[in-house]
Amino acid sequence: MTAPFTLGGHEFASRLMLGTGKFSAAAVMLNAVKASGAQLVTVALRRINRERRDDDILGPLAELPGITLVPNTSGAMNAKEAFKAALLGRELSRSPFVKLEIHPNPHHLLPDPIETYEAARLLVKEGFIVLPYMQADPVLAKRLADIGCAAVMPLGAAIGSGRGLATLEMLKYILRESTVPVIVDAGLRAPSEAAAALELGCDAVLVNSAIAAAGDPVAMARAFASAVRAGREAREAGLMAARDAAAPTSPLTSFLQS
Amino acid sequence: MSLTVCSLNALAAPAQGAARATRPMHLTVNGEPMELPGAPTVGALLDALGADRARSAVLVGDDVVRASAWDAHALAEGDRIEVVTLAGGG
Amino acid sequence: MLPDWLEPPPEALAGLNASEEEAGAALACEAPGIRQFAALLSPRADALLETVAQRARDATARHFGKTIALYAPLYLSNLCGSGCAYCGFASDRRQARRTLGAAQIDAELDALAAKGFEEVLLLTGERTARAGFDYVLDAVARAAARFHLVTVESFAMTAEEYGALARAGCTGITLYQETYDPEVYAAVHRWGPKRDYRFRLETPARALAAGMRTAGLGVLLGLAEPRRDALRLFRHVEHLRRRYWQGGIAVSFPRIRPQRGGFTPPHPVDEKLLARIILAFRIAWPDLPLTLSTRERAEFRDGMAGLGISRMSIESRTTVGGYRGGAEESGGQFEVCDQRDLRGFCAALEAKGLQPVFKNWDAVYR
Repeated sequence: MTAPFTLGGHEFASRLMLGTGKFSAAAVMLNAVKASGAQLVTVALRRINRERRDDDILGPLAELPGITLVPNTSGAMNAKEAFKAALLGRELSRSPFVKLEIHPNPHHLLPDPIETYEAARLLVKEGFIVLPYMQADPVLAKRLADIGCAAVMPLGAAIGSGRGLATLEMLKYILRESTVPVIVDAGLRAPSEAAAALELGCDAVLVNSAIAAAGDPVAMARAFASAVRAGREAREAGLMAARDAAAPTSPLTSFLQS
Repeated sequence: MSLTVCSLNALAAPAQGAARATRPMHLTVNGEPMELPGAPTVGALLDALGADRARSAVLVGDDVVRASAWDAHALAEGDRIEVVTLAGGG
Repeated sequence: MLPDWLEPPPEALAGLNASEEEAGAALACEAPGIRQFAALLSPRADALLETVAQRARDATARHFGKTIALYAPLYLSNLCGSGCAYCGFASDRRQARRTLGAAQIDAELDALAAKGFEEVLLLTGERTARAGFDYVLDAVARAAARFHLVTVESFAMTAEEYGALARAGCTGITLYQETYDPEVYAAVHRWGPKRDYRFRLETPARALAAGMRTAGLGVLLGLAEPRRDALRLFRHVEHLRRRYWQGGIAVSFPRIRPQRGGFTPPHPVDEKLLARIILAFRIAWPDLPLTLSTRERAEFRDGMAGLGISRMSIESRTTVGGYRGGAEESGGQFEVCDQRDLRGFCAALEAKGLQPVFKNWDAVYR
C-alpha cells in the first residue's frame, strides 16, 4: 500500500484521475473509469440539447462506488465565465472540487495564466477546492498555491498531444518548491510516462485522451492504473542512483588540513 | 446546428391573464432567441425545453438559480439564460 | 517542542552513518534530497571527497559562473547584554566597548565604498539602549545611500521593525540559529533575549514576510554535533524556500575559532568536515548562495572559492571602528584568520580563474 493522496482535505487511494471526454460511447467511458480505479473523475458542462435527450453520464457515474466528480470549466474564455461555469458545475455535481481550465485558443488549448489566476482567486473565496490547469510555470505554481489553490495541475504537454513529459525540467522546479500536491494534467500518451511522473514526485496524474483514444480504452485504463501504482511505489521505495564513472582531474581538495 | 426559434404559444395552457399572455416575453436561452408567453418562471422554461430537472443547472444573467427556486423565480424581458448539464470532459 | 518541518526524517539521520557505497550512490543521485545530503556528511564519504568536490565545483560553476560575490562587514557596536558563552561580545567578557556615532558610521561606510565594495553587512550585538532599533535603522539609511546591498546581522526583531528596515533600504538579514539543538542552545545562551529558541527560529521567516529580499542562515559549527545541526539547517532552508519562494535564502558556515576569553568548542570541526558540509550543501542546493567569512585561513578560503562557496567577505575588521585605522580599537567578536587586503584577495581569486563581483543587483525600481 502506498501513502494516500490528500487533496483539499479529502483522502484518495488512487493517484490516477480520469477525464471522461472523447470516448466513443458512454458505456466504454464507464467501463474505463471502473478499470482505472480512479476516484476523481472530471466532467464538463454542456448546454442541454433541445432536439434529443442527452446521454445521461451523471447517473451511471454517480452510481459507481467511491467516485468524486470534478467538474471542469472548459469552454470558459475568461475568469468571469469560468466562475459561472464553476457555480453551475457545483449545482450539478454537488462536488466541492473544480478543475479550473481557461484556454481561449481553440487550437492548442494552452491555458491563459492571467485569467486562470484571477478565476482561482474568486473560486477560492467562494469556497471551492480549486485545481487549476496551468502551464508548467514554477512561478505561477507558487502564485496559485499562495492564493489558496488545493493543488496545481501543470501540463506535461499540450492537451491531446501525447507528447509526454515535455515540461520535465520545469516540473522539477515546481516539485522542489511546492507546498500543495502537483498533478500532471494533459499531454501523456503512454503509461510509462505516468509512472515517470510519479517517480519524479508528482502526487497524481490526470489522463483522458491517452485512454479514450487508445485501441482498447478499458485495457489502457487498467495499464495506466498499474503504471501509476508502480510509479508511486518506486517513489516511496527510493530509486537507486544512476552512476557516472568519475573523471580523474587534478586534485581539488589537497589544501585541506586534518 | 440549426437555429430553432421556438414559439411556445401553442404549448402554453390557456392563459388566465389573457390580456398579458398575448404579448410574448423575449429571452435568450443557451445563446439562442426564444419567446415564452405570459409571465414565465425558470420552472416553466425548463418544462418548455423538455429539460430533465434532475440533471440541469440554470444561470440567469450572472446568477445561478438553485433548483429549489426554479418554480418561484420569475423571468424578465431580455433575460439571458443558460441551461446546462454534465457531459464527458477532461 | 520543535516544529515538524525542522526535524529530519529518520532515514536522513541513518544516512549520517552511510557506507562508502551509499555515499557514492548519493553523490550520483540526479536530484539529491536530505537522504543523499546526510550520506555525503558520513565520515565514510571522506574517501570520495575528491569526486564530491568535482561535482560541487561543476554545480557552482553552472549556477554562479566563475564569480565570487564580495562583501564587507561593518561592526557598528559591540555593546551587548547577552550571555552567549561562545561570543567575544558577551556581557561578561572584559573588553573595550564602543558604539559608532553617526559621523563615524558615515566615515567607515565612505572608507569601504572607496575601496570598491558595493555590499555591506552591518553588525551589532543584542539590543541595548544605545544600540537599539532606531540606531540600526539610522545606520541602514546611511548605508543605503552608499551601497547597493545593505544587510544586517543584529538582534532578532519584530515584523514591524523588519518592515521599517526594508523600507529604509535594508535588502536582507543574516541571523544564525547558532545551534538547532535545543539543549545546547539553552546551555550556551546563558542570559538575554536570545534564550528564546523559537522566537529566533522564526525570525528569518518574519523578516522575509516583512519584505526583506534575503535571509542568511547558519549554525556556529562546533557548538553541537555538527552533522545533526547541518541536517536541521537543511530543513530550515527547505522550509523557507517553500514558504517564502520570492526570498533569497543563503547559508554561511561560521566555525568557532579561539577568541579572547577563550571558548573551547565542545564539538570541534576540522577543515575536512567543514568542507564536507559545504560541498554537501552545494550538491543538494545547486542555486543556494553559500558564504565563507575571514574566520578561515587564506589557503582554505582560496580552495573553497568556487568549490561550493559563492560569496565571501574580505578585509574584515571584527572590531568596532576598524576601517579608518582609528587609534582606539575595541575587542573583536572573533579572530580574523585571512588577513589579506582586498587587492591581494582579488588577485588570488583571479589566479584561480574566478572573477570577484561587487554588485549583482541594483535597487533601481525601489
